[in-house]
Amino acid sequence: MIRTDALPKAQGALAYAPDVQLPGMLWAAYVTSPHPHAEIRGLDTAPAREVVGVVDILTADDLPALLPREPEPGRPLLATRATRFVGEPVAVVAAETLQAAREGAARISVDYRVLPAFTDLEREFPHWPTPEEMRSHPQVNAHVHARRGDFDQVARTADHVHRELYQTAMVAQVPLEPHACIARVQGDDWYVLTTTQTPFGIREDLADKLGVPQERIRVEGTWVGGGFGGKNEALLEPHALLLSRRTGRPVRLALTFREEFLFSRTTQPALFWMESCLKDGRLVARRTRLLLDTGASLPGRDFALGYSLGFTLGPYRLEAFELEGYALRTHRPPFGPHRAPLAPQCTFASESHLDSLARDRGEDPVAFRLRHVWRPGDRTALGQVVGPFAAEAGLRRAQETALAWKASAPPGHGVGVALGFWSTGTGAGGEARLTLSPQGLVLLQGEREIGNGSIWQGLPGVAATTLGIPRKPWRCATAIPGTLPSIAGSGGAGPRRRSATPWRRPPRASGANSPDGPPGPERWAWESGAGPSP
Amino acid sequence: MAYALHFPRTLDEAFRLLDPEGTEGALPLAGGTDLLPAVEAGRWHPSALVSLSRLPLGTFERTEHEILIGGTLPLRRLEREPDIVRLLPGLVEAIREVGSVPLRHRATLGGNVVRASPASDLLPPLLALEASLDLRSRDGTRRVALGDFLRGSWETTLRPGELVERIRIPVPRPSSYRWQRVRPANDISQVGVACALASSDGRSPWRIAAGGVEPHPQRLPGAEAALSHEDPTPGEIEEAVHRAVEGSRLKDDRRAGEEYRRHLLGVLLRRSITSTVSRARTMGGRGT
Amino acid sequence: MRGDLPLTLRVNGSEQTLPAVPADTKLLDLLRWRLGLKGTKEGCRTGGCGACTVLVNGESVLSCLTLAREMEGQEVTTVEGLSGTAEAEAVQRAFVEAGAVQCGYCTPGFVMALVSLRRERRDGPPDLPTLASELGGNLCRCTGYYSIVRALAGLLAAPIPPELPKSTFSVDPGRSP
Repeated sequence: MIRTDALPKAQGALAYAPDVQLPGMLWAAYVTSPHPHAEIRGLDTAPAREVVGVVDILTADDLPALLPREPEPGRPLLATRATRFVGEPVAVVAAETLQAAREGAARISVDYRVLPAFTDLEREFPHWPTPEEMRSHPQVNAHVHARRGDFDQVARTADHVHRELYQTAMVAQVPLEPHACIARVQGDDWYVLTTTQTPFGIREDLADKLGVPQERIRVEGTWVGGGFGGKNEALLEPHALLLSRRTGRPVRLALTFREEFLFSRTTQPALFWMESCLKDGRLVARRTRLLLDTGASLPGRDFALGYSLGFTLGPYRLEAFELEGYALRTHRPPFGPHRAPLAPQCTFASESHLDSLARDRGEDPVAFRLRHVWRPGDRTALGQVVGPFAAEAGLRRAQETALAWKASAPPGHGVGVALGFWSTGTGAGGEARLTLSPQGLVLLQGEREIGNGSIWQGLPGVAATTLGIPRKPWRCATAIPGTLPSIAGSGGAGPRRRSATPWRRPPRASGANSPDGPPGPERWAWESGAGPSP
Repeated sequence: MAYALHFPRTLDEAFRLLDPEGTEGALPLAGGTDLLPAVEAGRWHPSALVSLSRLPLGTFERTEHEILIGGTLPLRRLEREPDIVRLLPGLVEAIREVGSVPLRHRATLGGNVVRASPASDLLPPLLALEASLDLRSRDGTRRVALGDFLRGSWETTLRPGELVERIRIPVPRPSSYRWQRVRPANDISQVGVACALASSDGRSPWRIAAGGVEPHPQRLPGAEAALSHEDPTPGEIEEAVHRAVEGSRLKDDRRAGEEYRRHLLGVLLRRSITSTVSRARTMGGRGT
Repeated sequence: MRGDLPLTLRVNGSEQTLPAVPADTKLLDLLRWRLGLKGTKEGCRTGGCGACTVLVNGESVLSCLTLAREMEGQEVTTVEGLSGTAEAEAVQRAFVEAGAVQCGYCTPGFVMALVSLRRERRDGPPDLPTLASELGGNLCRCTGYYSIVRALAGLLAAPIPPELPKSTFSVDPGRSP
């Protein structure tokens, strides 16, 4: 299928958020913290105000007068008494030119007193902590514990228990298009044009962060230069809007690549204690204990903990399992939405562990997986019945390919096989409006095309096919929040499935999680400030 | 952040602009691919940049025993220059790994040498190839061996008001450059090893240099001395690896740890020696 | 010479004189904000991503690493100036047909870099691994590069590699030529 947006993109003819310029626009730049944890003893903006072209400077001191209510404690729009991570915004400078804004930002002097910082999970936790240690640990954001059967019991009677520690590093999604937005506040009209996967989500977030009713906020999306889950949260928009409100002029704010790494939302390091029990040559039980660094995030931003921990069990048959994890607040950049939150890390730990287990037994790692992988009719750890499942066929195909590569690989090259899986279609419902006229089909919905084609071409295609009308001509448009009810954002292939649901026949009932289906985990506990919110 | 920008059209004008008594903190600007982002990031604060783009420094000459590369000749020109490809294969291998093609359309060999980045991929082969520099100033031209020019990380013995007029490299030199990186393209090597074969004069014909060592790319005299002739035995190669690893202080930074670099140094040295030996055969023996 | 001087250059075939161009203005910013040519994208601004690639006198250059005033009297070509020409269309069509355009932010940079490489090789096309390796300075975060390799194969009329062993992309330092 030829994408209709592809040629104009290749010609450089489509505008992305960083390309937009409004008449009378001011340019803004951040002052960010160079320290992971420091007390702000003073902040002198006077030298910045002397820079020719500097129009306005926003600091934490200005916020109370601008915000109708206190923002959520511990999540300041700008660092107040202390900074919580390297890259945290401390001030924003608006100027007639970007150079003046950057020059102004460089001249703001902040008097920091460096405080001890918690930035190294491994050093802080050389061993899996005891429940007593964690009960009183000030950095714990959330705790999740789930099990089926008794892992310790199985381990006592197992032939072999394989124990390993895996660690993963920070990962930033860094789309090639940095975050950028232009805000224009006129009276009660809070308008922002931004690069986002989810204009409706940004509006909700802005209403929450600024204390402005949603109906006064208009969020318009542009073409998105890569999102990967990282353009779901209002990061720069609040600052640009507040500066626009104060100056009465449109304000453009964009992240530098350095800021993109630090200030946009990322995956932070994690430690995985993996344990697997073997009995008569079969994998029968697994326990994963996870410490997840959620950076300078508060409870509620740790959704990935419960969401992804199950991936460490892999798509493999198990008689018993235990999953336990803690999300910890540290002085690293905030954890937040990103591509398949934590699933690659969990898969890395699980699959590497499986490889090493197979190697220990002297068994081919693919053969070992084939002996254990789910087949249709098996039960997942959470008790769902496995429907049609391509993992076995996929593994066999991967094995063939890997062997072919191995045969032609130059010296020093190796091959490996890993099996990952991911759940989709788990988001909230969506809504779209279809208009059919002699000119064609117009589909109005609430999400932005992020590059995979699912919005721009996929949705109208689903609509046309479902309605049995010719596929073309058709057009897909994104609603400006306020014109349609709330619609979830675009992540991967999810939106097509989600937004398409209302006009599709209801799916045939499956055994999955039905009341009389197999039981889920015997114990499922969640303790968090905000609870799980996948 | 603001700086003045000059475009001198003669060397005399350039020397005047670079003169420490004239403009304080004036820096010569060649391709700018390393200097400009460093200035934009606030790591350097020149009061003026003196562009070399209008000066007659983009020359290329080949004599019987030398290749003379003008200070501002872009790297992409060099890697496509038949004489360099034929006579200095190890240098070409390194140049092709610097940044990307669009970057190499502007980046220069002179600029790379003067910036003296401790992570430079060009310094190891230039050291192994026994490159020397013609440094031009108002007072004339002085010639300095590259090994004497490098003084430390980002530090050279370049005097204010001096420019790299030419880089001189003896030819032909069977040579090779072997490297390891996180990402093959558009990255900087964790370790790079260059070997070249020169005339022996009774001592070892091998010239070996490595990057990824402290404090900046260095010759490895111990390894050189372990190889007494052009076609070393496996035992001699292992001795060279042993001496290289023992005699070097490996870097330990965000690109790679010390232990991994030590491993790489040995692996890459073996590969570079082997490759140089096979090149010496196809190029018809050692260089001058 | 401190201060903002006028600059005369040719952009996409026509001569432009811009009053008051500051010394530290990058070519990228001049094109985007003074001339409104937004097809040249701003990515990393440090020479690491290739999104800002333009042609200077016909050769690919990173506009984020180039001072605007260095362009005095030079010929600059952006994706806007190239689009519509046969050589650009060949590259753009190959990308579109191979599904190599997703979010599209990197694509103009790829087009410019590739056009430059094809001009350099008038003596004959390089092989696929060489071409892929010489495009290594252009990052794409969406495709995983396979569709881009398909586009290159299409341009070279080369067989599309059915799978992607690592050696397709990297020049293996272990192999002696």
